[in-house]
Amino acid sequence: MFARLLWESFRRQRRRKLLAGLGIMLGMTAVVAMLAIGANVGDQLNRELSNTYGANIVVYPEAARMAVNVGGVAMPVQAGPKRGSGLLQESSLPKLKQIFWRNNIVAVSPELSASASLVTSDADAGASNVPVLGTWFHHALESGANSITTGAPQTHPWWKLRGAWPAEGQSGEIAMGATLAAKLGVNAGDNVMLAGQPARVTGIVSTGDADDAKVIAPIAMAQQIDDAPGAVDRVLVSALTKPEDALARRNPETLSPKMRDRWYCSPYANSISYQIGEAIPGAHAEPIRMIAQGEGQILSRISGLMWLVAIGALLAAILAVSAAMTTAILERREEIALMRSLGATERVVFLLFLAEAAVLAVVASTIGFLFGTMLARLVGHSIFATAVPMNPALWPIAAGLGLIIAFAATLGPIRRTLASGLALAIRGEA
Amino acid sequence: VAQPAISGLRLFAREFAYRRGRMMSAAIGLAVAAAVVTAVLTLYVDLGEKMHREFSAFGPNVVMTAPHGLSAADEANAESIAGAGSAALRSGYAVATMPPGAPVVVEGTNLDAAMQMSASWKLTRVAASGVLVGARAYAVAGQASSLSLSYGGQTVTVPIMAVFESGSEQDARVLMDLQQFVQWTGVQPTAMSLRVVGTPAHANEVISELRAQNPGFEVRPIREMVEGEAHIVERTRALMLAAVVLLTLTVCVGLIATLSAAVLERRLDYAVMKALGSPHRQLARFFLLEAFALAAAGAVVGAIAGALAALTIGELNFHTVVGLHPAVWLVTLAVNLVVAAIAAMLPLRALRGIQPAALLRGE
Repeated sequence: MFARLLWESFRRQRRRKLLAGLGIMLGMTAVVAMLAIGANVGDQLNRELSNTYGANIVVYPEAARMAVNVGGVAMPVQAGPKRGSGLLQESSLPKLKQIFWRNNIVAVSPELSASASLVTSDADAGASNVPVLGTWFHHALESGANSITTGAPQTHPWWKLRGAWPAEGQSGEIAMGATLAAKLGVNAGDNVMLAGQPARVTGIVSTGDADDAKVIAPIAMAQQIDDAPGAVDRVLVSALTKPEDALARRNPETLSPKMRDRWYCSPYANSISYQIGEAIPGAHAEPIRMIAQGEGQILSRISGLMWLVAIGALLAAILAVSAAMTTAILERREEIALMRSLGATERVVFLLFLAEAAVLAVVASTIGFLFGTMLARLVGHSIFATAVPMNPALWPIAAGLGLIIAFAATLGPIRRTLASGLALAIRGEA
Repeated sequence: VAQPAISGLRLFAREFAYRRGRMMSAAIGLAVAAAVVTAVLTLYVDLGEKMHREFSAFGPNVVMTAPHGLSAADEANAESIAGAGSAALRSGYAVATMPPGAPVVVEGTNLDAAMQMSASWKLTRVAASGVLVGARAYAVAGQASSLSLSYGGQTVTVPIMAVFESGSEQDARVLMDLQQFVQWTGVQPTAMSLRVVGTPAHANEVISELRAQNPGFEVRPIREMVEGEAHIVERTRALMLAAVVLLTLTVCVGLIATLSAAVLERRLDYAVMKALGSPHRQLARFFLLEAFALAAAGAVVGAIAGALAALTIGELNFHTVVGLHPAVWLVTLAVNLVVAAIAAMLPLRALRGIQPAALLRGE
């Protein structure tokens, strides 16, 4: 009998139920979308910061001589130790993708500085000695399932390229900094002689810094020019990190084993740098503090802001849904009064209406969860160009929230109607 | 036939008196929506301003170099062009040697200002005064408490005030007080780091102005800093707008349900009014008046609550006061009125379809 009553209620009041269900469904769509975006905004922003500021960790050879650079340009000094001694080895870089936080390493580019003679097609210009920066462009950093294709375009996202990046390895292809290219009158597609070897300039790069005056070549070419096979001066690493807190600043050697584990297993720039130092022999990795801390500060501010906005939107959506539900029940005061006058107990009335609300809430919340997930994906795509993944944990949250709102919105009006007297309710004056 | 003289406001007042619960529930929904819209839009407008302070953690965003030297007047001029909150820092460079005969870049600069501009450095204090030494230089120097630096045949021994870690090429440098540096080396400062506080457009204006006033100097932005700020602020603003759109949509549906119920509930009243000769246009006007009155009341309450919420969020999240923008309140009012108008469309159609004769016969 009860099930039949419930069924008939849905069958005969399709429009009302549809409207109430639509209210819950759209409210839950907004709630799920905001929660999905809120839960994901940290990761999305972290990637965005990484795509904007590039590398946030630098890896040096432990025993390297001190760089005598100002603004990325080597200062003239007396001859230092022979190149190649104490430098990092390119072959050890796949170990970067074997550390505990390997999945957080999103871009890597090694660098080797050299200098070489360059002759352009302008025969009158003669040879000039130019600085060469060897690096990766689209290098496959392979380490089992954790392989990535990476290079300087990812660690230096502000570089602007006209043309194409050179192919990796001994391809005979190079890129040229915009200042140097303008000075030598070289354009993308021109052929030059670099260190006595023919090379094709595939692109002109505007870096906005000292690298504008350099030839930017595949690292294999720089290693050959510098007679330092496999050598690397430094490695720039872009990692997704967690904002620095008090624990991050502690020295891991002075921590208790439990705290050290916590420090080690948190994706701080410091702990990722530490793990890189452990993985690559003879390497010293450290956060580029200006970038790492700046990113951390921005990340915590924006994530905090988005959570507060999400909570506000959640509150508003809950109120909107509960208003719609309350209205739907208020409409049925006469029906409640009629049921009571025909002998239905208060318990039966409550049970019937709560059962209706439960069915409506669960069905509408489930549809709302699906639409909300799709909406979050859409928002993620249009703002961050990456999808917000489906989070199944949000379904029980949406259904539970839908149930609570539906029950809360149902109980009040029923209680009021039952308390106000049947005759008044039937006359519509309750 | 003369139209019956029915006052819309009087009808609304009666409606409010008899159906307070429903009216309040719709008004609360609209007020909360207005509060969130006001709060989010206030933060949206102020976001760039609030984020400048956060972005200053990235350090300088403009670099100026002059081969023939930069004076204190150039520094003051750059600071005044860059505007309030900005900072300029001159530096001179010399390659000296330190024991055990290692070449080291010595940078002469204002040490206090350098520490302030590079707030991200990890500093380990050693003494009250002296030079700042980068971590790599400190390791090469054998972690001594003072350094003997030689340049052009002149040797100075200076105490180490602090060791810093920056993760940049500065870690291989020694930073010395500018006056002492010039006295010792005779080298004048040739570079200036500038932190311009403001929008990226403002930074570009400052660069243009500096170039125009100092044609012999090279002035360039640190591109990743200037462009990065604009990029991140734009993304955050887009997220906030998405939240406002989502919320407006939800409130709109809630209001459709409430207004539709109002029509359904009062269909007998409307049928009587129609039977007595009220044209549909007049009934629609009454109905819209009710929806707009609710929207306006919700907007006023919501704008006040939203402004307070924005102030609280600004204090909690950015630790600064968020400005109040009357234009945002107008936008909130407009949003509420549009939501009310959209939400009223469906119930208005139902209102048009009311057949007085059938309804009054109880069909």
